[in-house]
Amino acid sequence: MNGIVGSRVPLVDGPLKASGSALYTADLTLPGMLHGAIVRSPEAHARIVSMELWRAMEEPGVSAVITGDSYPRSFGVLPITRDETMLAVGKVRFRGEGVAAVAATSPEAAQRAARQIKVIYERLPEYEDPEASAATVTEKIHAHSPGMTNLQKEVRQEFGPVEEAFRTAAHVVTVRGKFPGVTHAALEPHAVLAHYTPDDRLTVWSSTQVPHYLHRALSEVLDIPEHRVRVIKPEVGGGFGGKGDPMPHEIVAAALSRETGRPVRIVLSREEVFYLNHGRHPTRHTLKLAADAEGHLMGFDLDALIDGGAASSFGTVTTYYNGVLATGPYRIPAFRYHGRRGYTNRPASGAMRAHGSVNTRYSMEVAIDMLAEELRMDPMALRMRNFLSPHTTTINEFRITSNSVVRCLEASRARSSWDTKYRKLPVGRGIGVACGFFISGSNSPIHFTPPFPQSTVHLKIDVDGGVTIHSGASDIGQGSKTIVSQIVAEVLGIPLARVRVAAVDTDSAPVDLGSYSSRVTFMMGNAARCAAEDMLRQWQKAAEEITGRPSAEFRAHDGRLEAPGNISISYLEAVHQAMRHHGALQSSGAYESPSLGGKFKGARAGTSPAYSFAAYVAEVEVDVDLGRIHVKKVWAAFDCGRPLNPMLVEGQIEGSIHMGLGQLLGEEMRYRGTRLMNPSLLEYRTLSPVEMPEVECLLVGEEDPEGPFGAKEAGEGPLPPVLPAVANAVYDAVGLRFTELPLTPDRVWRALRQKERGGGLQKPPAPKVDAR
Amino acid sequence: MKLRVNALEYLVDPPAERLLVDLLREDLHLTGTKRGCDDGSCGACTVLVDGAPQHSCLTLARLVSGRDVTTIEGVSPGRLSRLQRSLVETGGLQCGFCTPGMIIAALALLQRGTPSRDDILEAISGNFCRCTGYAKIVQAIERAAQEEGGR
Amino acid sequence: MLADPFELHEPASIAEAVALAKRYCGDVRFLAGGTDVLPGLFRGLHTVRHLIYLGRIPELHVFDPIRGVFGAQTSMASLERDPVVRQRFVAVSLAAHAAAGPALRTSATLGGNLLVDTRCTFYDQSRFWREANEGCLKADGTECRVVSQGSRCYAVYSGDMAPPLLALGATVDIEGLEGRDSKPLEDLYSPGGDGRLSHALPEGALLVAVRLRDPNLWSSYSKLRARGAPDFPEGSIAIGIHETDGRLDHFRIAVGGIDTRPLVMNEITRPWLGKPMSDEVVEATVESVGRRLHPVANTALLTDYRKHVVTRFLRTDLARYLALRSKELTSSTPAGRVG
Repeated sequence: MNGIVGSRVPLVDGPLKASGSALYTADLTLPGMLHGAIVRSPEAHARIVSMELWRAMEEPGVSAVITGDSYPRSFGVLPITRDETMLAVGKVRFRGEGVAAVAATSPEAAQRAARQIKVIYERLPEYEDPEASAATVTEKIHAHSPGMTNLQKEVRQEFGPVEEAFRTAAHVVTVRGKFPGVTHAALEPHAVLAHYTPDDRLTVWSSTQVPHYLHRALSEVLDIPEHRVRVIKPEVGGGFGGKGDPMPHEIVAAALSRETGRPVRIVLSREEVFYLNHGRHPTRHTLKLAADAEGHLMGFDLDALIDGGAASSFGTVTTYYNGVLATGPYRIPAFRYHGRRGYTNRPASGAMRAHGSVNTRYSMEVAIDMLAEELRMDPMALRMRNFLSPHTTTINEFRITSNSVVRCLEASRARSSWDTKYRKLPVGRGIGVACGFFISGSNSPIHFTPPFPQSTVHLKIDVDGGVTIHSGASDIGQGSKTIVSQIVAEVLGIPLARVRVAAVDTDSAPVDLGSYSSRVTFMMGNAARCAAEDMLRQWQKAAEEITGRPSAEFRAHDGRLEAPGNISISYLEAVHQAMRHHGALQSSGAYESPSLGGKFKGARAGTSPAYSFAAYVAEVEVDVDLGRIHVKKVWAAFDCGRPLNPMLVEGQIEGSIHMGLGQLLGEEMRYRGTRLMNPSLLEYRTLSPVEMPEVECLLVGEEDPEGPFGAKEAGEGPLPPVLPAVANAVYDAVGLRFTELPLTPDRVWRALRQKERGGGLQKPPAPKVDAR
Repeated sequence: MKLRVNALEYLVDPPAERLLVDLLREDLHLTGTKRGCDDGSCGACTVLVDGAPQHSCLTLARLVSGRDVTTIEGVSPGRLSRLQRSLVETGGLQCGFCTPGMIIAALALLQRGTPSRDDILEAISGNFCRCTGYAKIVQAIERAAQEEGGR
Repeated sequence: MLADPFELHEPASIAEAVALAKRYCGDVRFLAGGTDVLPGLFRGLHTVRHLIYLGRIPELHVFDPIRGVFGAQTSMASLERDPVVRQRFVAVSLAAHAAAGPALRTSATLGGNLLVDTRCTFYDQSRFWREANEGCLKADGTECRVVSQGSRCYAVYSGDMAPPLLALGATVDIEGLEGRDSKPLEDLYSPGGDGRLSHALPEGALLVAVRLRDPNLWSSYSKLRARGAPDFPEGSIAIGIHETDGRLDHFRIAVGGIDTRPLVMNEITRPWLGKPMSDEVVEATVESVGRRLHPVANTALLTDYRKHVVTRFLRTDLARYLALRSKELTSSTPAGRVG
């Protein structure tokens, strides 16, 4: 081993970012570039009666005005649910939906012209509540919903003897959870630059997590063959799921460029980003857990209703994930799930970090805490009794490989001094625990026919001796460029500085399904390792030609190829030797996901080649007077297999905790009816640095058999456990169970007052069975 | 009007409503300064004006005439300063979008001496980061301050 | 985000500024640090064709903490950091420190903060948002969206500087059409209590300076905001106290972030003058102040909570004074918090 994988390597693009030289989409300009602006609907649900465009056309500097009627083809990230159009066609389904677009010589000219477009609407009934959407409606939001409902998706799954489990259980606990929507709030607002050139080619630079899906959507909507569309991903200022779908403005810019024959750039305002949303679904659910008298889980029953907003996005997957991702890390012998996703006239919900699993995980871990109390058991002991083992199968036929959840729980217990704190801290202070489980990449690609590899990586080396990596995986800040560089340098035994990652460009990079579902390290990492091993074989063969020693004897190390008996040549010698045959060297590696999952409907949702596990402990102090929850410290034990770069893994954990605590303590897409009340970073309240607790990361995973160098995901799984860990700590502190988020100080204060009126605050009872 | 940015003098004639952030990004092509919100809440557009941190999205370009503006590009041209290096090496940046504003805010702090942890939190409290959870940013600034102090 | 074109004037003297304001009467705004006026302009909340920038007027930059004179252009950052302000006018320095984030405080000014546009969830929105909501009493509409059938506007005074200055008994110098005038800071705010007016200055009049007389008062400032930073107050309270020979000769309380203007509680505190500060005074004051607070649901936090926290702050801050007093009758120990 060369020690590059596994070490705390700083981001390879760090110096560019720290000096302000890294280029993001909004930083790019082209000669003759125009600026686009989108006219947005002030109505949440309305028929478009008429549009008056001529005033906008006559504004100075305006080059084109377009409407949805000319671009009626629908798109959507999932091929089975294409229900978005780049601009509204016939009717609008949410406030903020685009209805027309303008290209002009400056952003100001474009906005000024956009304001001149007069649209007459005829209001339709507005739906703000998915409960109403599931019932009979007078006006359907989308024609394809079943019957006269606004349902988008309904899932029913049942495994094992559910009825019997709940009938015979010694203990049943129920949690009724209510969660508002939250959104990604990546710091970079979405931006796109499109250039349709006279050779009938379209080039689009965009702030996207998945260039490949954008590539497909542009081709489909604009009816341009895929081979004439090129997508380039510059630096992306954060995604978290919010840049995973092809988005309307990306296609609008391309359409405007084709209309005007000039490059067109669109940079969204922060408010527009809020209307784009595609964030975490507002959720209501009832979760029940059954257990026997010894605390063995017997059954799980969940009924969830999620608010999809006005489009499908990833919602079909989300609907499944709300249920199926709860089948770990515990053994569930009987499982029932009923999930529904309703359309409403709000900005679409979609995928957001720890997609579909956060809200269910919250209620599940709270339910386990409640169960432990009923059983008078330490919640850690209860969890220990129920963990899935490594190398097993869940009730819904997920294949589990490596699993270090036991080590996670032990580590967080020891480091947090759990045994001296649980139920022993004074009133107002508390400690809580929760676990986690997440996929390392969705095993079934969204576009699964024909079965292409999920990720392909190409390497190229020429006379200069630098290895260029071509990959379609998107670095959106998480550091995938660094990880792929480490893997390639590790295999080839060359310094990191000899490796460079080409920008994602669909003309030159092989297809990768992009940055979502925590798939990149696992899938691209495996592809990169294969590509590097292929390259190494070419070098070894050349080394054999030079030295006469069998190629298999050569190990790559420190920029040299070394064989037993002090035989050593520089890698460049080998490269130059190999190049005599066919010039610059190339190699390719691919990752194809294994065949996984059962045979039932929806069996593939949630299957993954590997799963991450987690056990977090949080300690809190509740200011009873002011209702504030101060999270003092989080011990985050995480099993990402072998961490390829512990510094980046810690960064993912710390960032996840920040985001998870944000959802728990303050973040909320605040609606009145269909109206979003807080579309700004001032009023949508992410945590400030002052509220951020100390975080101790405990990376205790063991190597995964199929992960690249034993690695699994670390991008999303670190998020969900922190919310219930803190909620359980709050219960330990003041005896209050919260099942509705967020826990803003005013709501906590109200609950505390009620509790005080009902007999005062006190510690919940201590367990009889302790953590051992 | 004359404008000094990163020790270079520019002759510009912005309209009254031109914001400094747009002048820097669109007219001078100094795109290191970022725009993340539209109301002065995110801090990505922070620049130094006569040495003090200021939101360039809340500043009319015309009003910095004759003053000294430092953007991220002017912090340490051509190589990384101690603070920038510390951010890279500590993992205090991920997507990098908040980084220029964060560095400018921290720079203003470090100029005033060795800060406490609370000073650091306070100094970056107007700068949003959605990736790092701030932990490694604070560490990086602490580290840079120590190195600066031990120089 | 689009501002209509405007003309920017940069007068070098107060006389010039006032003359400009008179010339463009009805179509003009003064621009101080810009942190409030510019977002308002870009959101279409103000549509004026003339801005008069005040930063080039030397007199407005007077900064004399020894004499207690602060020009309207004094930056929040200098109020926060100046050691003399910190020592003599504790609450002023605390309040300046509690506003927004450090970069904003470089630009933001004392005058701008005192005259900051009142805020409301239905008002502080983009032009698009407000049009989609068909406006409100304060902008582009005829109905209040917070209180149904409301005939007045409930937008909240959301600055940080008025409460401490009011508690310390500040006066302000104003340059009006009839010349220079000095009056109590209270008079800067509309007695009618309509949130449409952020202040009671006649159009064209200019706030020149704030004056604090007594550097020996004990003072405190506590602020409720959603996060550690950088939010506007959703309730804040400042106290100024002085006792001579164990008897109150200055006792003032002012509340911000609750009503359309900062509330001065003189009728509650005045009767205690001449008496010693005591637990009895604390109890009576907290109760009376609580009865004066009537927040409406136009910020993010629940109204009963905002009221609770403000009275809670009042109680703890007064208790802190009492504790200090029992040690020795002294002044200038920092008090207050931001939470």
